[in-house]
Amino acid sequence: MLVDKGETNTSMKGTYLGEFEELVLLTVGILYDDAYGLAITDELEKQTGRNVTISSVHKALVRLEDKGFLKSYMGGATEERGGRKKRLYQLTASGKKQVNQAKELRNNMWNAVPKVVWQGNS
Amino acid sequence: MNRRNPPKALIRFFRWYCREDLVDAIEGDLLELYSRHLATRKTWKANLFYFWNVLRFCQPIMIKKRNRNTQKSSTMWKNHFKIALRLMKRQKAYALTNIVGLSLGITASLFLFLYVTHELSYDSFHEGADDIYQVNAISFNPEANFYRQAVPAPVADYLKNTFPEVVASAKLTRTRFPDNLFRVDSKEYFETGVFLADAGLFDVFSFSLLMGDEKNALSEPNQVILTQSMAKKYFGDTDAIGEVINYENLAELQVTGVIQDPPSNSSIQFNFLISNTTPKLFYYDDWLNDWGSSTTGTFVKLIEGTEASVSESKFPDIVNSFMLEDLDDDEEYVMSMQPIQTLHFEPHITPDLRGTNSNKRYSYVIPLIGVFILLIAAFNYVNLTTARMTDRLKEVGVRKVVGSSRKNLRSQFLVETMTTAVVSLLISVVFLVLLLEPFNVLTGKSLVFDDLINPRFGALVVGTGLFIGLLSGIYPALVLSKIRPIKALQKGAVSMKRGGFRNVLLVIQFAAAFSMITATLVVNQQIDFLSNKPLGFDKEQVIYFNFADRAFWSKAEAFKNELKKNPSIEYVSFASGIPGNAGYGSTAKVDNGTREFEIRHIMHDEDYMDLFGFELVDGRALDFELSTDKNAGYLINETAAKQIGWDDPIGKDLELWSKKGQVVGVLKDFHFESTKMPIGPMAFHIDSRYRIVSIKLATKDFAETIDFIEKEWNAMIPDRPFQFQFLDSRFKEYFEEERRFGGIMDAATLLGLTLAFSGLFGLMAFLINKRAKEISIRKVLGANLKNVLQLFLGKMVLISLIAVVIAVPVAYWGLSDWLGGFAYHVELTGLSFLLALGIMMSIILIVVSGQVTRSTSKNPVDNLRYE
Repeated sequence: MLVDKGETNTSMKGTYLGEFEELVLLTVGILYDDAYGLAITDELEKQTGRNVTISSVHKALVRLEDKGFLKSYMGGATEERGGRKKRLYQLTASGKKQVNQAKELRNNMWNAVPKVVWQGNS
Repeated sequence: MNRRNPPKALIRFFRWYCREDLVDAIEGDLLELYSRHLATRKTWKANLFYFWNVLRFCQPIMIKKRNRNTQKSSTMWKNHFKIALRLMKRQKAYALTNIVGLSLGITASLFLFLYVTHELSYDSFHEGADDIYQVNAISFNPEANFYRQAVPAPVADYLKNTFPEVVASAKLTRTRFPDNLFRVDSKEYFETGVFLADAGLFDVFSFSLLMGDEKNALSEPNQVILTQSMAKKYFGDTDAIGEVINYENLAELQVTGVIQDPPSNSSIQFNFLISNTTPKLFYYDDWLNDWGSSTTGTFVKLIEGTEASVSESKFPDIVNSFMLEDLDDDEEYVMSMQPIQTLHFEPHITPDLRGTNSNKRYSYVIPLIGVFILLIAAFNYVNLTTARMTDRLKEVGVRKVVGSSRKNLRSQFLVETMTTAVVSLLISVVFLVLLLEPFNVLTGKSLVFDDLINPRFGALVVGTGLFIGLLSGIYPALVLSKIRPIKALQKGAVSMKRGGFRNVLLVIQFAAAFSMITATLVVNQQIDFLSNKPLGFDKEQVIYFNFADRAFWSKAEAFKNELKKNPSIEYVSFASGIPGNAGYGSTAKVDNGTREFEIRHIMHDEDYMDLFGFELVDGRALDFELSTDKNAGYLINETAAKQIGWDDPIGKDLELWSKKGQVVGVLKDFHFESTKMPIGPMAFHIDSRYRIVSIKLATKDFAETIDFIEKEWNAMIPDRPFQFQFLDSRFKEYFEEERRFGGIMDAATLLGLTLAFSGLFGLMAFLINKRAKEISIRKVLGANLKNVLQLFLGKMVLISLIAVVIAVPVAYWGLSDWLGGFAYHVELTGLSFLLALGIMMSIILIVVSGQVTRSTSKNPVDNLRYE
């Protein structure tokens, strides 16, 4: 009877991807089937060496899901989580495309940098 | 495994704000992090971390959208509304009582508010009304002390031409004729509201011409502007412009304009405006240039926002420059400005220019009564609704179980009461329109339907509806929505029997009802007292008429002699003033001119004392054969003797209007004016400056005698119809305002009481019904009617006593304030309060015992049988 419209957010809010969001997307890819908030935070800290807060990760996850780059399902409750389920994230097709695009963009730009730039000793 | 959790308050806080779809996952993450922290750090540090994280999650994207339900609100409201209508349909009698009660209450209070908004709106319809003033004058001088609403005629133009802050000025002057005879062909009428005016009227006021041209309509002599209704009266539907009206057989006036009738809330009420340059209509010609007498009602409009004192401070200069030669050495002339919007309430102004004056105090009392009635009606509804809550408990329970939120339930109940309120409101608007005429009769107003259509009143109507709807809905909404579903569904778990809130409302209702009963009793008592107070003279069978024309007074003695031949006419008397019609006020000198005091004095002929039957307490009446009396005799009244301080006034010297004389007698005090006013000092002397003819009829056959007088009149003054008034009706007029107020009080109290006790009736029926089983068991065990009655009556009596204790000081204060406004009034004794208490108690007794008897007379088996 009750349809909670809050869950069915299908709107695509712009496809601009921030640097942190891109990292979160990649981390979700790395973790594959165990990509939930805390694990992503841990992995990001490990990969980047930065101090990452759990709230900023969750914020990015919500945004990315809204943008349609991630999808999620509930699963994997554990004792130390007080019986709460994890929200596990997966890359969607457009999410994968987005990561690829970002990578390609970098590659193209990388290639466009004249070789001489790298040879300088400054 | 022994798991520890972070402080509950933090978890609760997190859950309170966090989005529902995220809360589980994030909480899980946070707990996982917490247990990780616990493993390595101290508990308080882990708690601190947890707290820090919870705080950091508190960001817009994570926070619950509180109003998510509004997305489907239209469906919800529609459903609430549907349920409300279904409920009404299912319980028709209940809904009908509620709606009838509410609409009666709303109608009555709207009428009372209407009355007050109309009263307070007097003269505010003029554009820039805040900047319009009337110039008044007080002259202090030995011959007369007058408060006047008039100043010399040239003042108006002078102010406009020389005072930069005066934008416009207008003159309104009465003609010298007291009753204004107009004639068109064979149509001949005496009219009121006739003024000599100039075109400044259109600059100052917002009266607008329907036909004619503002600039030229009053620019020439012998021009007249009629109101719309007068144009219709004299000329029917034909175009009045250019027609000619004869005025007082003196002037042929050409109609140059038709003006809208002044609205009912205008203090300035006119029917005819004659150009003030028309000759012969004032006592003397060239009055427009006369700085010597206060002849003209003068109105000015100032530049927006200018203080009146700016102009007032310059008034003494005007007096010094133009008026000194006309003032006596010891005379002082002070002009001041009165804001036009206060004209209606200014109590000391004689109803000269204007329609009816009003006492502002009533404007505050009447809305209070309106609020009382509204409260009684609304509380009835609240009480019945809350009392019936038990019937709705199951519904609330089921709704909650199915998932209704408190908010949802609250709006459900509010929609129900709002629906009832709106339906009642619509009905009362219909009542309002239908009952407008009777209302006008009761209040002496002349409101029309158009007066109802203004934003102020519209806002009032809507506001009243919302007020009632909210007031009656808010309590059931709050209480019912709070009940736990399990208790709501469990039979008898929630008891509504005691109803503390209901009793509070009952106390307020009873207090309002009690105050209203007391007030009505006292008001009627006072009105009776005033109208039955002995006046001290005989006002029965006396007719009188004013006549200013010298032509009449030259023939007056002959007229009198003719009338005296008729045996049905007992006395005919001429005087400068009679009771109810002011004489001259002057300063009298006593003790060889060393002391002065204010006195009203009457000049009269030899029949005066006999006609009115004034009583002598000391000395003798004036003897018209004695030349000493004729030239120097005075009668005074007791009040005068007392105020001067004479123990034995006979033979004391008195000087009035430079006529030195002696007091020959003292009259017993009588009411020269309304019994509302204190009796003032008076003097009587012989002089022929008469203004009024009074005739005492010896017979009960008025019609024939008046025909006779009219015939004599027509023989003597053929070009004027005979016109007269009865003296006793003049004295009745004095109490018109009090009678109106009394009428409103009577009607309002009757309605208020009916509402209050019909509410009690409904409530009792319900309460008794709820305890039907209990009563039946008591009966089976041997209780009689008296025992059962005690069950219910005791509480009601207690409630009403508390109400009385609250109401007595309020009513006492209000009523003694009202009574204090009268020079003579009844004493406010405990008797009125006792009587009111008695009335209220007996109604309560009747209502309660009626209901109880009805219930106990039923066979207990009917209530106890269980099927």
